[in-house]
Amino acid sequence: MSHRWVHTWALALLLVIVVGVAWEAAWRARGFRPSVSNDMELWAIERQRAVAGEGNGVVIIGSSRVKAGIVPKALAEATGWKTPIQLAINFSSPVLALEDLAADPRFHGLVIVDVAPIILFNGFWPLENMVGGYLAYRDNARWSESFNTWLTSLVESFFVFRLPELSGSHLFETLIKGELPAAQKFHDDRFRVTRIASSPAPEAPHANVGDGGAVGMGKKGLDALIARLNAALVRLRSHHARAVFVSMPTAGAMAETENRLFPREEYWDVFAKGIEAPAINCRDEAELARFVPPDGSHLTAAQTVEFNHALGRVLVRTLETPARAGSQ
Amino acid sequence: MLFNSLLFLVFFTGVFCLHRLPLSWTFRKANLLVASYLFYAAWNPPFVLLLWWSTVVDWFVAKRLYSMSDAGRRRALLLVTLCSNLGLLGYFKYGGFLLQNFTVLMHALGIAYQPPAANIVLPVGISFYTFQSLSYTLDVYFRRSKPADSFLDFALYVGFFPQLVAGPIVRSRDFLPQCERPKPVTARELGIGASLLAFGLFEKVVLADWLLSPSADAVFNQVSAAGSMDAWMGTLAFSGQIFFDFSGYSMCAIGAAMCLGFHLPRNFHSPYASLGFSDFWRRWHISLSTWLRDYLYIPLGGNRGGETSAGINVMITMLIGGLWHGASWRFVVWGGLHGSYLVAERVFRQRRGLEAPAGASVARVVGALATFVVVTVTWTFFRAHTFGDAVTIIRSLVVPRASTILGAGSVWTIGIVTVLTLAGQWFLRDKDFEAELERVPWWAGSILLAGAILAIMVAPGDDRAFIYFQF
Repeated sequence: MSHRWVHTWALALLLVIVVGVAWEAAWRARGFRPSVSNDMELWAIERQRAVAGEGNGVVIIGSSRVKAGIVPKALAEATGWKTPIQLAINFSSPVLALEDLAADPRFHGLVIVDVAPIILFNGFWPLENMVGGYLAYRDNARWSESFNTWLTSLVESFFVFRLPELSGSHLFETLIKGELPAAQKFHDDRFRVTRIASSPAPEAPHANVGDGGAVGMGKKGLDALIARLNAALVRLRSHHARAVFVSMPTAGAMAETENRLFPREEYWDVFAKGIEAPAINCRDEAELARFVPPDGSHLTAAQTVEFNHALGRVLVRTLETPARAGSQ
Repeated sequence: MLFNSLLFLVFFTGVFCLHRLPLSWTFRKANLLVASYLFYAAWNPPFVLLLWWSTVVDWFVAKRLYSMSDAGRRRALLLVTLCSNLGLLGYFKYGGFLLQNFTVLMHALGIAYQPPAANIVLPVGISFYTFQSLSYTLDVYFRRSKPADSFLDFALYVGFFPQLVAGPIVRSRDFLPQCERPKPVTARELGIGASLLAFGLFEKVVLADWLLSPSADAVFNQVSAAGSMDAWMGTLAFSGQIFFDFSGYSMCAIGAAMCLGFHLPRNFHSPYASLGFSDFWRRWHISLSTWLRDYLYIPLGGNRGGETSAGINVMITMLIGGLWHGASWRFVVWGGLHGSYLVAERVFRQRRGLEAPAGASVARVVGALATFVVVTVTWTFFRAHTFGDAVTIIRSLVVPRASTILGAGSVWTIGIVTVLTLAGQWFLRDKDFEAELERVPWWAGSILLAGAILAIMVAPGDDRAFIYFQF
């Protein structure tokens, strides 16, 4: 009787391994690569890392532009700084995240803040979008959830079978249509860095937003935003932390939309003048302006290493030159 | 900590390995107790204190009750444990509900009463472990059993992690003797236990969460848009979801315990193949329905005082049983409906001599289907967000309306899962699942297990909590 169960389980595990390996290999052959998906939980873990130890790390906040465009390892190589912690969230304004770091006296490091005009200067876009939920999750996260997230992301970073495109209903819905799922363009790693496949289809992910509701916040709104950010910067400096604002490269339809809705002289120039921290616009730096995001706002994996080396040089120059560093 | 999480896999592997070490039985039981507290602390560490409180109070009260002979003092001591356990339950689970109803009552009387905000967090599993601990003391009070000899054994009985947060509600006379001396876990127990764990996870992750829950959520989250087909399919989807969710949990609990050498009682026995409502309650959440029978229905008088008295006792038991599920009048109505079905069934059976048909006749199948349909429609009060929503869904079940929510894929999925569920439960109606598992050829068992594990692996990745955790 006992041998029966040994045989049953031995064959069952063998079948699981054989079928699992074949399944994994088949999807990898179609171009799928591992990617982690539990963003909110991982964000909470990474946010905790921002204040771990001496709390003097480098933190990146903002939208998908910096999440895909800034590669922590490459930036660290170029600057000699600690490897940055990626806290950017797709489609999100950096304001709440900056205020959260400013309110945390354990943080003594540097914040790289993304200035994506269509998000930061957008009068329609709610500032609390997404980030509020992330902060609430972080405040209520249990140790067991964090540990489970860590384990889950470990599995997800090695295997493709847990990709949303290949799991459950998504897969069956695609198969029922007589199609096979297409390999994903975005890969997120356990440290929340997004890598975009080198040849994405040309598209403007935010074009619909630009057409469908984006509107400049106007002078009054911009003044209020600058005042709010400056208040956060004052609190940040009170615990010896600092910030630098970076506007990432854009191109094509996205650049046209932003130029139309948020003219540089009315928005970026006013912002850079009013904000009490260094502000870098990639268009103004020759070594950064040459990078053209194929989809309009996201650099691809093939571009990012070189871009980050260039950005690193600009950041070091900016932050280590007293005149450019301004009040920092 | 959820059974359907990687964390549990790591946790259980660690506990299992430690339990298999050639160490003293006391050390191994202590390992299980520490693991159980760690398991509970995964939700909210301070609430472990509530578990300790319940354990310590019942340990001392039961000891004193056993040694006392004075009836008055024994009753007073029983009151202590009732106040302790039901007080905990009352405050944490029903505090907000009572305050809310008191406020409504005050307003109805024209008194403008505004209570302070009651942000009471419900400790997970409190309804289960307070009932379990209470049953021990009540058994000692009624002289049905002796108090435990070892505090470690008793603490493990109250806190044993596989069944701590959602049952089965185990009786001390079933569990404590298993703690007395070590019993080696056989390969058979290990094989069946691990299989139950795998099939339980399959029920939860694949059937409940993947195939049924999205449709049930879609319908019950937009009831005003639900047409007749939506309402029927949404209700059937929830009927399947709650069964597979809870039965899956119970199966995991029984399987995990078996891997550690402990046997827990069965909690479900093909409830959707029931012939009538008394049969349903002998098959659904068996450990709760027998608890309510032994510690509420029978002490109330059971059927000893005639038909009317028995009917009233059934109604009281089912209303309290409904309220046990959640602090809302919807659960009371759900319990009340089941109580009224049971009373009606008793009346019909006794006055007209109506008995469940025997054999495999068409009448039996029709009876089982009729019971399933009524039980399924009654779940509406359990699942809907409000009374209004429940009434809207029931109206859509009856009055034909065009459906707009669920697509053909969802309808087919729910239909197929429902038919297979009913057929499977009918097949297993008078059989033991574990015995049937052993009757399957070993290689076929391997294929079934591998299929279940692979399906769990490709199921969508959200680790949803079990529905009964909220109770």
